[in-house]
Order: sequence, then C-alpha cells, then structure tokens
Amino acid sequence: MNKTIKSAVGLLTVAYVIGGAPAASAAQKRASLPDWGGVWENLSGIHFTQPRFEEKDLAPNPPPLTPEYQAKYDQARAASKGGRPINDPTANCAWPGTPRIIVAPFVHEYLITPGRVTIIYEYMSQVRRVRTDGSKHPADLDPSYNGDSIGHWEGNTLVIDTVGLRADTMFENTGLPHSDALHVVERIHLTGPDDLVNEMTFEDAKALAKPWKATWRFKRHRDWSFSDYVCSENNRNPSVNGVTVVK
Amino acid sequence: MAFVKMQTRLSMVAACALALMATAPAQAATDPLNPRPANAAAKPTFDLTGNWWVTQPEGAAGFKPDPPLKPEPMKVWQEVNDKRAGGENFRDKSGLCLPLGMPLILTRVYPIQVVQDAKKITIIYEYENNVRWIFIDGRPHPGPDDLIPTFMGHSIGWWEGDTLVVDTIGMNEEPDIQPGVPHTKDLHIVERIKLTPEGFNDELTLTDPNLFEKPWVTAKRYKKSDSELQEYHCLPENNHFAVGADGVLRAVEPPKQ
Repeated sequence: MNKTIKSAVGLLTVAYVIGGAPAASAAQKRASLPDWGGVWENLSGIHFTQPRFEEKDLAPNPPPLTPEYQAKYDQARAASKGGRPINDPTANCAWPGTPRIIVAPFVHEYLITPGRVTIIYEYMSQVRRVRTDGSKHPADLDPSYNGDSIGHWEGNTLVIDTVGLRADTMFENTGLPHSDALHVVERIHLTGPDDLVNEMTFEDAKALAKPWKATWRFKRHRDWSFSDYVCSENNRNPSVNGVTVVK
Repeated sequence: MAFVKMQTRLSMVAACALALMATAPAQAATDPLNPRPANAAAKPTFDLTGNWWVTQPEGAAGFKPDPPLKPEPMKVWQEVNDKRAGGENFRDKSGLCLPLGMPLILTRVYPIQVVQDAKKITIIYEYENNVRWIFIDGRPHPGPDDLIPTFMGHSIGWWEGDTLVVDTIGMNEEPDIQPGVPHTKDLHIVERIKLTPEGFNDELTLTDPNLFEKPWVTAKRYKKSDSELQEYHCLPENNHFAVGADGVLRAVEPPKQ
C-alpha cells in the first residue's frame, strides 16, 4: 500500500455521511479497490482488425465472420474503396456504442467504487456503468448503445460482461458489422504501474462463426484531464441518403 | 505519519478559523485563480457519491428569482419573455444537441450520478452524458494562457465547515445561462452546497459584470434517487424542433423514412 492510498483512507474515513453505511467499512471497501486513477491513452489504434503498438501495425486480426456478415462487410469495403463509403452512424454524431468506444482514439477514465465501476470516455462524452454488486443481466433488455454491463473482480482484474447492444452500431469505421446478439467480455488489468491491458472476447451468434479476440494496451497519464469533445459543434461528414459526404 | 499529524493540526486551525468566521465577515478572496481560503477544511466534510434528482418546486426551466440584469441584456430577456408568452421557445439551443454547459445543465430534470474520490467530484448528467469535474485536491484554476473555455468551465472545490464551496470559471459563451440570458467569458459561479434531510441544496451566486447589476443568487435542490441513469441521446435528425434563421425554435416535421 503506497502513501497515496494511505492518505486516501484518511480522507475517506470521514466520508459517507449520506449513504447510511458505516463510515469505516465503506472507506475500507473503497481503499481495497485498485487504483486506476488518472486518464488512459489508447496505444493500440482504433481498428480491432488492425491492432497497433508504438505507431506500428501489429499482425492483422481478421474477424471470423459468418457468410451473411462477411458479405455485408465485403460490400462495405468495396463501397469505401470506390470512394462512396456506406454510412458510418458516428458521422451524424450517433454514439459509437460498445465495443467501438473501448478503442476510441481519445482518453478514458475509471471511477471505481464499491458495487460499481463507471467508465468515462472523452470521445463523444460516453459513459459506461458496470455493476459489480453481484446482480445479473435483466431478462428483458432493450438494446442500447453501451448495453448492460455486469462485472466482478478476479484479484486485480476487472471482468466485464456486456450484452443488450444495438445492431446499428459498428465494431469500427471500416464498416465491420455486428448484430444485437453481440456479447462482449473484457478482462482489464494493470501490467505495470501505468500500463493497462484490456483482453476482449467477442461472441455473436449471428455475425461471428466463432469467438473473436482482441487485446488493447493503454498508458496512464495522472496529470492529464478531459477536454470537451462535442460532435455536434463541427459536423462536416453527415450522412445523406445513406452515404457519408464531406461538407 | 507526519502527514496525518499535519492534517490534524490543519483541521484544528480550520476549526478555530471557523469559530472566528461566525463573528467576523469573511475576507474577500485575493486571487481569483486560487480563491480557496486559508481556513478551508483540510478534509471533505461529506461525500456526495450516489444518484440524485433535482427537485423543481420553482418550475422545470431556468432559475428563480429572475436575474438582476443591466438595461441592455434586460431588453433581450424581455423580448424572450414576450416571445414565450406568444408560444415561441426563443433562443433555446438545446434542440441543436449541443451540451448545455454550466449552469444551464442544472435546469434539466433528468437524474445525475455523482462519484467523489480524493481528487475530484465527478458529476454525470443523464442528459447527453454531460460530465462535470470539480477538483478538490487543492489545485488552483489554470491561468489565462492555459484556460481553454469549455461548456462546463473549470471547477475547484473545498469545504468551509459543513459547506462545499465550488468555484467555476472558464465557461464558453455557446449556451445561454437560461434562454434569453447570454453570458460573457467573465461569468463566475460560486456554489455553496449543504446537506439537507432529503439530499442537498446548491445555492449559486452568479457574477458577470457585463450582464448583472449585482450578483444573482439562485438555488437548486436535490434528493436521493434509487434509480439508475439511462441513455439519453440527442440526435439532430431525430429532433422535432429546429432553430430557424430568426433564432426561434419551432416544431418541425420529422424526416420522412
């Protein structure tokens, strides 16, 4: 336990006036959680199909698509090569959704509290909430951009399980599609004082013939903070009749 | 251990200073970039972590009482009120799906999530995931060369006895304070947040020498919420309202599928 954590315990012992929980136990619970403070920079790029590190491409990571979704992807790639890319919904400021937000090019941060992890992304001001209170996914989920996430700690590894995702978001801006059956499992842990790895596994009974994996690396910056990312302020690539255009 | 001892001493000093404050008026802050007074508490007095609803006994939109405007901005405000009386929602830019920023975000009725840690208080508004960070680690505001105006501005906070004081500068001029009350880059907001039996009370004092005759004091009240925040996504193409060339927000036909 380092000095920073000790002083945090001191500060938090007086806390939780409102919650009704005994102050000491709440502070202890909180102090026992990993310190992922600061903000995290994405080192691996924005394409699951082409991970990067230190500004170099690593081995390509082709998705094991089902024939139906391979055909959709081929169509998207051909349209892009032809100079008329199919509509990327984020061009109209629609949210990227999970899992695309995980590999967004801008920083993110973790707010780790007992029973919940809240992840905030600078890109399009996205928020994911992960229940770590032992609750299950609801049976009747309405699809949403970031789905329903439950998680638990295996030692210092945060395991997040996400379902209930919309079918109209993409894995990435190459037009790689997924369905509403997409199931994302993330295993996030530190590999050094300021190095974080997210090992992802994607399953999608409609889009993927078998599970697809991707590993992403992030670097901590304790002295950085967020800036505004407001898509609607500078929207120069709207979709017109299903085609992305440049204004 | 030295750290702990120092904290104890500091809080004793703070307690004495607070006792003095009860009889002596607080001194004016000397440095606008570092307004934290010497008698600020060494430790947080309370933790706002949790979900909250704003209660709106004064109505859902805007702030009460009306702002003490100077003559020129008063003309704009009166024009807005006239338009509104005629059924037009003049100058409300929320239909453009931009963040509302401080303090307009406080006029929305959707729930908020607060996470307080040793360094900052993070407030997430269900409305379009607008996020506000209040730094409570003793840092000052950035100087003029480093301060980039943002929708939420730059907020620092500290405790004076049972009150969390939050000082905010650097709000961009995009959103009005409330429709018809545009502000300048000199807008400065001081919030005094106190716990109440049902939640907390946020008393705001707004100053902007270009806008107000005197400081504008208003308040928002919050109560504890047990419900989780949902996704609230504003997309211009889904909006049934648009701002016309005359600045008036009107209902429009939804786009044909």
